[in-house]
Parts: sequence; structure tokens; C-alpha cells
Amino acid sequence: MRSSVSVILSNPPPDTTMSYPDYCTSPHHHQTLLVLVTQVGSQLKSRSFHKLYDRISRVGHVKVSDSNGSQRPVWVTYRRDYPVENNDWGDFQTHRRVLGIITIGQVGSQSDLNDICKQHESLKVKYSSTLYDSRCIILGLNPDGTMYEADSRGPSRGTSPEPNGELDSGTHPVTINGHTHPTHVKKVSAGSTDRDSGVYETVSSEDKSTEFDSHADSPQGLSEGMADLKIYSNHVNGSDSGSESTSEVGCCDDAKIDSPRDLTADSAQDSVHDSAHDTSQSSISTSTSHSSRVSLQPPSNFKTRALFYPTGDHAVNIESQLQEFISSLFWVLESKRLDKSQEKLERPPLLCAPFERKDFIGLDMDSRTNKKRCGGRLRKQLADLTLQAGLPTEAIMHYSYAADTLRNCNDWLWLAACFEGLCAASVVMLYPNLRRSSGLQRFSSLGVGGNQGGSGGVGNRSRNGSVNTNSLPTGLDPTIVKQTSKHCLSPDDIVDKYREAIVHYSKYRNAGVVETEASIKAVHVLIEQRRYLMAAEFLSNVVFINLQLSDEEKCVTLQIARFNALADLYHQIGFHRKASFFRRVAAMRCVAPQNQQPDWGQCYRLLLQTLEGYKICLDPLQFRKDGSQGWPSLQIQILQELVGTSRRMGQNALCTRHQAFLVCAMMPHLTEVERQETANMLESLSARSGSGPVPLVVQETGIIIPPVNFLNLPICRKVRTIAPVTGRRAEKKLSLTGDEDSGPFIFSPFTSLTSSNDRRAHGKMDFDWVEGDICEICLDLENPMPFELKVTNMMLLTEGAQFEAWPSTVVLKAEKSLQAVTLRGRPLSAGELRVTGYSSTVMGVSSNCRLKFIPHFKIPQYTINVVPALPLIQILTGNSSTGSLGAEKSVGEECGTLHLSLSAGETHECSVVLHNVSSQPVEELSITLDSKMDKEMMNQVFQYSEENIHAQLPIPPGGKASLTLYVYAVSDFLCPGRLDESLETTSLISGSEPPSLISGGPPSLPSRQSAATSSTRGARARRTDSSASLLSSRSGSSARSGSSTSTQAPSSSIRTRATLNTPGCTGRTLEATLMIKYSGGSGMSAELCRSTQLLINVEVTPSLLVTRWDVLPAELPHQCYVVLDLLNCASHEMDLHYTPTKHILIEAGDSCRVPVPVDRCPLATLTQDASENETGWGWSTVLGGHVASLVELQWTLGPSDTPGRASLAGITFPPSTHDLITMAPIHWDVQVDGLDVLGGTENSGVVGRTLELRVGITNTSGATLPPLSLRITAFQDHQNGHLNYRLEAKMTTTGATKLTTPQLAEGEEFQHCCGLVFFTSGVYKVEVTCSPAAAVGQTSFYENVTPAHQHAWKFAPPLEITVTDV
Amino acid sequence: TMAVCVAVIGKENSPLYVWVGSGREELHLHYLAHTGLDVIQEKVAAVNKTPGDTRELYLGLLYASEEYKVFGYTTNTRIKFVIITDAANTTLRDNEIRMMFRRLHNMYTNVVCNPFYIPGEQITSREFDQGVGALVAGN
Repeated sequence: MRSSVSVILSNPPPDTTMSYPDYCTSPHHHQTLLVLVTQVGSQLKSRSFHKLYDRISRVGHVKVSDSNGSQRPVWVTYRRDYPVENNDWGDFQTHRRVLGIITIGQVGSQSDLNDICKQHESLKVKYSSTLYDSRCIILGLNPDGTMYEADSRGPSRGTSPEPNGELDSGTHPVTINGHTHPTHVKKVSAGSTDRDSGVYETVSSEDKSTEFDSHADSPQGLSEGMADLKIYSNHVNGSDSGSESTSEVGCCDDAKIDSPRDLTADSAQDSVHDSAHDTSQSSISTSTSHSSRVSLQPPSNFKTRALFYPTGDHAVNIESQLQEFISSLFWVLESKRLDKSQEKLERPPLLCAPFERKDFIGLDMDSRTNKKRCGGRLRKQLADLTLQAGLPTEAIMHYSYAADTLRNCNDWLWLAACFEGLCAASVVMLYPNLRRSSGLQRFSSLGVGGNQGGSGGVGNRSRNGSVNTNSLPTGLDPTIVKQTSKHCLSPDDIVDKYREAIVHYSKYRNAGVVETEASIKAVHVLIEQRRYLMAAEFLSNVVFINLQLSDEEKCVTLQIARFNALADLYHQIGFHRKASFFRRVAAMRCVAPQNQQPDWGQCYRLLLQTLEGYKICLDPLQFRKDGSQGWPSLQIQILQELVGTSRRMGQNALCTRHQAFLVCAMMPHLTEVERQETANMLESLSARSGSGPVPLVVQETGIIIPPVNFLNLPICRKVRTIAPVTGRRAEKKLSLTGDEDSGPFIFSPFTSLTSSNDRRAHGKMDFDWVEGDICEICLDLENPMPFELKVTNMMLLTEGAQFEAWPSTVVLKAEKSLQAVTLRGRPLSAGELRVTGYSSTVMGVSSNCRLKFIPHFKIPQYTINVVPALPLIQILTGNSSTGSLGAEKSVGEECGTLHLSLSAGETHECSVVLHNVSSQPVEELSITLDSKMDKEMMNQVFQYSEENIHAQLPIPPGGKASLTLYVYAVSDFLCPGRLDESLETTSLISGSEPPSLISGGPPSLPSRQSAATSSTRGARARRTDSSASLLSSRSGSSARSGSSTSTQAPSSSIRTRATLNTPGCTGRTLEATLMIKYSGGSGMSAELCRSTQLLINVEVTPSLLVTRWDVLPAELPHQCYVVLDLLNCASHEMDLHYTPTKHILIEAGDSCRVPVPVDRCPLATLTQDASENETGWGWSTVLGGHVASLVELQWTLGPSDTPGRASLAGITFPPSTHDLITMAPIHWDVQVDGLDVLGGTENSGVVGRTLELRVGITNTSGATLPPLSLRITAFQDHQNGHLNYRLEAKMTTTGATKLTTPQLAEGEEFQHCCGLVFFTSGVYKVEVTCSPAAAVGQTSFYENVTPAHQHAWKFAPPLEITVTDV
Repeated sequence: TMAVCVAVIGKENSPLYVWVGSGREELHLHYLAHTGLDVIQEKVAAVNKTPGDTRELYLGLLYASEEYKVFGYTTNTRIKFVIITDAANTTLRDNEIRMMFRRLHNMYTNVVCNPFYIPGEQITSREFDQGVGALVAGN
């Protein structure tokens, strides 16, 4: 405290130059009274000071009625700081004089008060040469001088609508002097009768004289003037002040309290009440009421009017106080002006600018020029005073006069000042609005902006209108202006005069500040005139003005202020680039090496302000849009400076952010090397402080630095949502797959094409994701950097349904090509999932990259429907016949393949295990088989039990269910060439048919005996071998009956070596798909299911092939032999069971002939089935089917004894064999001598004795049998293939051997008897044959079926009679 | 040399081509050319106010600093040319500056005539480079 006082008291060394220019100056300042407002004492908080200062500075305009009764506008400039050096220039330009001082202080104790008073007095001394009056506002005291206790009463701020009413005596400001006597206090103004607010003035003659002793004024004039004082608070009565008002928009609470009505009433009262002689009454009451409190006394040397307020909020009447103060200043000024204008001095004093004084030493002061000079200067000063006193018109006259005088004297400096004054006066006349701009501009950076009334946008220039160089105040016609003052300069003249003034100023080294200010004023005028280019000229001149700044340390801050001010002005004229340039220069000065105390914070703030001029928007999204407009090299420079500055500030987060922006936004303009460098730097910075995708706020300024998202690092070129694989896809249940479009068209481009395209365009996916399943999206990324780019924490950003995104880390190669990256995640809830982008961390910078912000990306988001959770089944297959469940191998996840390799005819049993790998139970399941095979065959090949699997439901999570699938390697065992060969046989048979029927010995037909295979008749069997070999086409191979292990039927089979590559021996492949549809969990209620497939691939290797077949009659009448030539195509030895009791071993590649006894086909089934198909082949098929159903060839193969069976399905028989296969429609009942003859029965007879042969035929066909011709023929078999029918010499018959039976009804029996007499002994055979009677042949029962064929039924085997001699 | 910096500036005021004489402070000249745009913009805006006014392409001296003079020229398609000369170079007269601009304009026209050049992109033409080299060399 002491020191601060002493600083103020110690006079700085006299300086002839002004310390620094006021860059906020405006021409209107010439018109104003300068009042210094400062804070004194240490107690006052700067905030309350600013509040009060704001209120004070709003009282910038007061109207005073002068002695002639006319209104005088009085303008005030408040300054908080004013160098005394500048004050010294007050003679040169009177508006530079400090006329008044207002100090504001807060007291808490007596010593505070003493300090405040002392400081106030010392300030008065400092500016004593020019000071007219002063005020001291002291907070913390009640008006009576007692201490204010804050807790006693809260400040009334704004809460009370009628503050005046509430105010008690405690709030009264009191003016005191050293010897205050309460009784002497009297009211100066304001209505004291009804209200207690007012200003008190001590009536003390000695004090009064001291108070005004600094300036010789006539107190009478003053009091007279005050009598006519009319005070306006310009912000209050906005109704009439309109364009004249200089007040700001924002009003503090207190201002709102004072309603206009109140104050006008107040001022009216003020005007009514004079300087008052009445009422000491109230003052007495105030003093007595607070007598108990501590009363503070100002020191005795304090001779200023002091205003006491408890707090700033209580100072409700401060405006009126100020008005009173200003008017007091005005009256002093006015009196001085009048003095100056009236006096006619013989020897006028020489007025000098401070630096001029020494120039005039030794000059002849009495010369004529000098006198003129003195007179001119005096006149100029008078003009200044006149202008300040609110008489611009008069001032212009004085200026003009003075200018003429001074020009003649070559007094350039004062001539320049004269011109400047002239310009100022003209500007005051022409552009009254201009004064507002300076005020606005000053506060614009604080964010208090806003225009009111009048011309909009003074601060920020508008270019919308045409160039109006004659910018005049609104409503003011140029001609009127001309009339009001013919000396007033035209707009062009103003600029010219300014130019001239500046030229003159520039001749003086010490007038740099004045020149600068003049230039700035000119710029303001030019801005008003919208002549920006010319303004720029003036401004560029300012740059070159050499200011002689003495103080080295102050120099830096002044330089900064200068460049900053220049930037502001350039900004105002719309030269944003230039403004940014200077702003940057200012910023660099803040941290210049020669600067001892670099201010990085200020540098940073200034740099931020330059961004606009360089077209940098720190939001990369915005910046990208107009990225082409900037100037990249400069942008990079400024960004690097921002990075550096913020790093020096220690703001690592900001630093990282800026570097990230540099990398991201300036990427296209960086060379590869620079990219590498900037990226390296970013990495090291982000290591210190990572950068997340959140906006940062710059401290103090509140500027928000938006996040930098690396949309182009890496560049995302393509996004592909990946549909779930087949097995995981959710499907609508079959019942619900009703087509949505009900149009009549199967395909319509208007519905199916467009709708799907539309959906694609909007990023709607036509598949679903399933809750709880892993879902994938594939991004095609491009790395623009010349190095490997590591992207960490890359995951999807989604909206809508809950989604668990899994981060992944990828390293992108340093190449331009696209690199695919798959991002995975898991939806946690059903619903619509919108993929809006991805987040990533690159070089320590985390970014959220939204697809909609990625340039050239048309789809802003991908929408995927997520359906409720569904179970998932994994199919395991195992070979149940070979391995246990443990040996199961899992088939593919979604769609498995089961590969089997089976020999034809083999049956394989495999178990399909359904493993529920999900967390949902499987509650529903259906299995279908799908194949290209026909249904019948499929059913033949595959067999499974669906009920079985259904019984295992539900499958709990993790559980298993198994399904046994039987696979039969179906194959066609018949040789593909069979048809031709059979036909061949048929033709052979048919060609020799009539004899064959009788003899039974056509070469192609095995003899009846050979078919009889009985182990008991080995000798005969050998014969059959030989006869049967006739049949074999490939009989060249040796018979290998001995090699057979079988003892039962070695003779019955014929082996042939066949080549394996005969047609039919190649394998085939059976394919089928096992489709399993299943559902469960929440997805089931949503009518959804999943399906999985098991592709079953059965490779059938050939095993057994029936190369040829034929039919032979069997020993038993109801049987026949189907003789098969079997070829073992497998590569192993085969053990073949062709009847339940008989088996044979066949070597690999061997062929062998086996007879299979088959029950003959009953006629009933034949007629039943044949009636359905009328074709000749129908018979064959039916018979084939009959045979196939009866013959089952079972075999075991190879080392593992693989079992298998072959069927003869599809076998057909030529018509010639039909009768052999079909059961005869008649039933033979043959008796010899009353004994029934069955197949193989031995009959014996004696030579000469008659054997009675009884033949009975019963119709078993189920229909009426037409007449048949019955024939009985005897013959002898020579056992060498020759049959002897010529037995006339050996036997004879009695009775008919040929006869025609009558028509036999169903079940009816016909009997015929005849006798056989043998003459010689031997073995005889009797053949009994029945054939349709020739007479009725045409209408034969079978005619329509097999017309080309003659039926004959034989009693087989033939009756054999051994005749012996007696 | 005739000039120390030649700049071709696009419609949106971003540089299409900047040539800076060797040994010069590149950034400083960039700043000069950049701030010159303010003046160009102002001059162009002032003329465009009156329709039908055929304006002169040559804009004259934009501004001068202690070391350099900045001249401007704008085409009808709002392509701007800026030439910066040494302030000390007193031999250069207005007419010569005009001639330089006219040559530059011709060269730029040639560049635009190239079907492979997309207007608004940076100029990377060797011929243009050589042309500018010849221009500033004064031959």
C-alpha cells in the first residue's frame, strides 16, 4: 500500500513524447471531456469496480442548458488509465486533458479510508495542471460515515421495486470534509421532503473555497448554471435519446430498478429544488440513529467530495451524481471557453506541444510571425474548447480561422492539429453515429456486443449496400448539413484534410503518437464512408510510423497492442487476411526471443484469432468442406505455431488436438516426408496426453476446440455388412413365408428390383442378424501414410439395438491398396441396429468416425435387423457301427459334409449328433432329406427315425441329440447290357419254342435236371454242370468247384473270370442333403428358425453284378430256379449267400453262376398287377418284381466282412420265361396207381402190367378256364441230350393221351385216367402237358396279354417210371 | 530478375501455383501474396457493384512493404495473379508489370486448355514452370 502510493507520488522524469497511442481513438474524442476513473485502496474487488465502472461509463452523454437557454450536449470519455505524458499534450489538443477524476475504493477500517484519501489526493496532484473536479466513491460506509455491516442488511439489488422507498438513512451518501459536523450537513439536491435519498454537502466556506481552489472559477456562475441543470441519464430515457444514446445494451440490475419515470421525476425534482437551504432535519436523524456505530473520519487533508455507499449495489443515485459531476466539469470548461473567446490579449502566450518547448528557446518571441503563430495556436485551442463545449459549428469556424493563420506561419504541427480538429468537428456533425462504433469495438471482444437503433453493423462492416461515400446520419439530408454549417467539411474533404494532417505530423519525430491516432481516426471515418481501400492505405501508413517508445520492457507490450489494434482495424475494413497477418505478428511478439517474459497464453489466444483469416476451421468436418479455399502453406505454418505454443503453455491436450488436426486436415498438402514427421510428432505428443473425441475448452477464453476424428486416417472406402453364414441365418418358419407382394406377377421389376435397390441405397440390409451371435462388418481401408499404420481399438459404433462391439487392432501396410478389416461384435438385444460408423485410435488419437461424415460416402448408416436369439446346432457325425460317440468328428460349422464310401448293397449306420452349442434350448426340430434322386430311391438309401429325435427334444444348451441314419448303398446290380442279352435269349427261345416245350433241350436253356440241385444227387449234378456250361458265354474259365469252401453247392455255381471294367462295374455317387430346421428360445416365439445342412455323399463302389440271368423250372411245381451269372466287381473276395442255406465264395473279379430257387408267382397277383399295365413289358416288370422280392443276395466282403445285400430290383424277364415263373393256372394232381406223384417221387412199374395214370387238373387261376388240350407223352432220356419219343415198340397206352378238357370254372377239377403198359424194362419218362385248346386259341385267356406266345403248362418235373422185369 | 514471387490463385482464393525466387523467404512471400488477396477482393468488389462495367484486369499495385511491392491481376473467371517485386527494383515500370501479367495470363490459358487439367486443381505443368521461369528472368 505504501509503495503503491509512493509510486504514484514519485513523479516520472518529464517526457516530451506521449507514451503510447490510444488505438481505440476516434474523431469524436475531440469532443469529449476526459475523466479518469481509477481504483484506489486495496480492499475493492476488481469485480465490483468493473461493475461500477460500467455504470459510470454509461453516463457518457449529458445535456446541459447553457446560459442562453440552449441545449448543449456534453460527452465524456472515461479512462481507467492515462499517462501523465499524454496529459501534457493537453495544450496541443485539449481533449487530451484529464478534467475529472473519479476514484473508487472500499474501506474496512480507518486506515483503509486514510489510504484511499491519500491516493485520491495524490492523483489530484498528478493531474493538477488540468484537473477541474474530482469525486471519490467510497464503498463500505454508511452515508453518515459509519461502518457498514454486510450482515445487517442484504443489498437491495433489484429485489425491491421501489428502492427509494426502502432506503433508510443508512444508505445516504454523504459528502464530508475533514471536520464534519452533523449539524452542518445540508442537502444539495434531490427531494428530501418525501424521500431520503440525496447528496449532502457540508456547508463550510473554507472547504468550499479549497475545493475549487485548483481552478479559478466563479462560484456564482457555477451555481447559476446548476440552477438550470437538466440531467439526462442517456440509458434511462431511451425514449427520446434514440440515436444519440451511447449506452450499451446490457443494463445491470440497478439500472432496471430505476424506471425512467422515476428518474425523470427525480431530475424534475432536482431541477425544482435548488441547491437547497432547507432540512437539516433528516441529517440530524441520520446522525443520531447510527451514533452507536463506529464512525470513520477521513484524514484532514482530504478535500474532495466523497460519496459513501455501503456497497456498489446501494449506489442507486450514482448516475445523477455523475451528471452533476459532469455538468460541473462542463461549467468550468464553458467558463474557460468564454474567457478565452472574450479576452483580447496584447501578447498572447505561446502554446506549445511538450517537445516544442526547447525549440523556442532563444527565438524572438516578439516577431510578427511569432505573434501570429501565438494567436493562431490560441485560436486553435479555443476551437478545441468550443468543440468540447458542444458547439461544433462554432468550432469549425475557429478551426478554419486558425488554420489560415497557422498556414501562413508555416506552423505545420499546429496546422495539422487544426486540420484534425476541423475533421473531428465535421465528423461530429456528419457522423454522429461513429462515436458508438468505437465504444462497441472496444467491448466487442468481451462479447457485450449488439447494436441498437440507428445504422446496423457499424462494427462489422456490411457490404450489402452500394458504396455510399456520403454516409450521413440517418434522417439527415446532406443539404441540411450544408445549411447548418457551411464551413463543415465534405466527406471527401475530411479524408483529404486528414491526409494532409498526417503528412504534416510525419514531419515531426515526436508527433508519432499523434500521427498514429490521426491515422486511426481517419480510418474510422473511412470505414464509416465505406472506403475500405483508402482505409487500408491509411492503415499501412500506421505500420510505418516510427513510434519512439522509450521503455524497452513496455515496448514489447505496446508493440503487441499496436499490432493487435491494427489487426482489429483491418478486420473492420474486411481485410481478414491482413488482420490475421498482424494478429499473428502480435502473437509472435508475445513470445519473441527478446521478450523477457514470454506470454504463451496470450500468444495462443491471438493465434486462435488468426485462424479465420487463414480460413481454418478447427472442426475438421467444417474445414473439409471448404478446404480448398485456404492457403495451405500458411495454414500449416499457423497450425504448427499453435502446436508449439500450446505445448509451451503446458496444455498437452490442446497440443495433441492441434497436431492431430494438422495431420488430419492438412494431409493432402503434406509431402510424404512431412506426413511422416507430423505423424511421428503426433505420436510423441499423444503419448503425453491422448486425445479423445471430445471438445476441449481453452481456458480463460472459453473457445471450444472441436474434436478431431481421423476420418481420413485410415480412409474407409467401403463398408460391407456380412450376412450370417447359411447355418446361422435366421429364417422365417415355413408357415409364415407367405409372399408379401400379392401382385399377379411372379416377377415384377417395380416391386422386387426397386424395393431391394431402395433398401440398399438407404443402407438397409436384406438379412437379419441374430441376437447373441457374432456379427461381422468388413471395412476396406486405405492407408494414406507412407508407413505402417497401427489402428488400435477399432470397433463399430452403433445405435438402436444393444450391441457389444469388440475392439480389434489392425496394422495397415504402407501401400495404397485397399486392405480389408473385419470388425466384430455381438448384438445383445433384438431390434433395429444402426451401424453409424467406427471408432479407432490412431497414433494415440481416438476418433469416432461417423459414416455420414466420411467424404464421398453415400450411405450414412447401415441398418440391420436383429432378431431374437436362436439356438445353434453343430452337427457331429460318427460312425456308430465302428466308433463310439467319442470318435465323432465335427462336420463344418454351418454346413457339413458326410462322406461315405460303401460297396454297392452295403448298409451303413451312421449317427448324426446334433450338438447345441448355443445358450438357447432347441425346442423344435424337423428333418428333411433333399436329393436329386427320386423319392423312392431316396427312401431306399436313407432311413432314419424322426420320432426318435423328436423324443430327445428339447436339447438343452450344450446338450446333444443323436439321430441314426441308415444308409444303404443302393445300386443297380443288373448288368446294364442285360436287356439286349435277354432279348437275344428270348429270340432264341421263341425261335425254338415248340420243341423246347416238349424236349426242354434248347441250347440256351439248362436242362430240367440240371436245375435240380440236391446234395444227394451228386452224379446228376455233374451233368448239369456240363450242360449248364453251355449257357455260359464265358465258359472258358476253369471250373473251380473244388476251391469252394462250400460243400453244399459247389456244383451249382459256375465261375468265370470277368474283366472288372465291364460296364456296370464302375462306381457311382449318391448325394443327398439332410436339412435340419430347428428353433428355440426367444426366436421361436418370433416365428423364426434356423436350418443347417448335412451334405451326405455316398460313394458306391461296385460289389456284385448280375451279368445275366435266366429261369429254369424247379423240381417242385411251385418253384422255379432263377439262374444268375454273378460277377464280383469288388477288389476283395466275396462270400455270397444266395439262399438262406447256401453260399459261395467268389474271388475278386470272378464271375459265377448260381441258381436261386424262387416260388413261382401266383397267377392272382399276376392278373392283379398286370391289369394295371397293359403293355407286354408290364408282365415282365411284375414278374421281375416278384422275383426281386424273393431273391436276396447277401454277401460279406473283404477283410472286415462288410455285410451287404443285393437285390434284383428292376429285373425283367422275357415272355418265354413267363410261364416258368408264373404259377400255372392249373393244379396238377397226378397219381400213378393211386399214388400221388410229387416232384422227384420214384415210381416203379413192371413190364406188362398196366400202370394207371390219373391226371387231375384243378383250375386255380381264379377265373374260368377255357378248354385246354391235355397231352400225355412218354419218352426216354438217353442222358446224352437225346430224347427218344419213338416208344411204339416199348410201350403203349390205354385211353386217350390227347384230349380237350371242358371249360373249367374256378376251383373246378377235371380228371382223366389212362393206362400205361411197358413192354421192356428201363427208365421211362412221362410228360404231362396242358395247353390252350387250338379251337379256342383265338379267344385265349392270355391272348390279349401275350398274343405272340403259346402257353403250355407242364407237369414238372416229368413223371419218371422205372420199369423192371418181373 | 523481374519478380521474386509469382502466384496463381484460384477462384476460391486458394493457391494454384506459387513460384518463389530461390533464396527468398518463401513463407514471407506467401504471406505477402496472401494478404494481397484482401486488396484484390476489395478492388474487385468495388467494380462489380456497377453492372456492365468492363473492368480492367490489371489491378495495379496492391500494396507495398519496405522490401517488396505486390501487384495484382484478375481474370474474368476470378483467377488472380499476384506478382511480387523487389521494392528496390526501380527499373520496373507499370507497363512492364502489365506485360508480365499478360504473359502470365496467356500461360494460364494454355494450362486450362489442357484437357487433362481440371480447373481448380494445383498447376503441375512443366511448360508452365518453364514459362514462369522465363517470365521472371525477364526474357
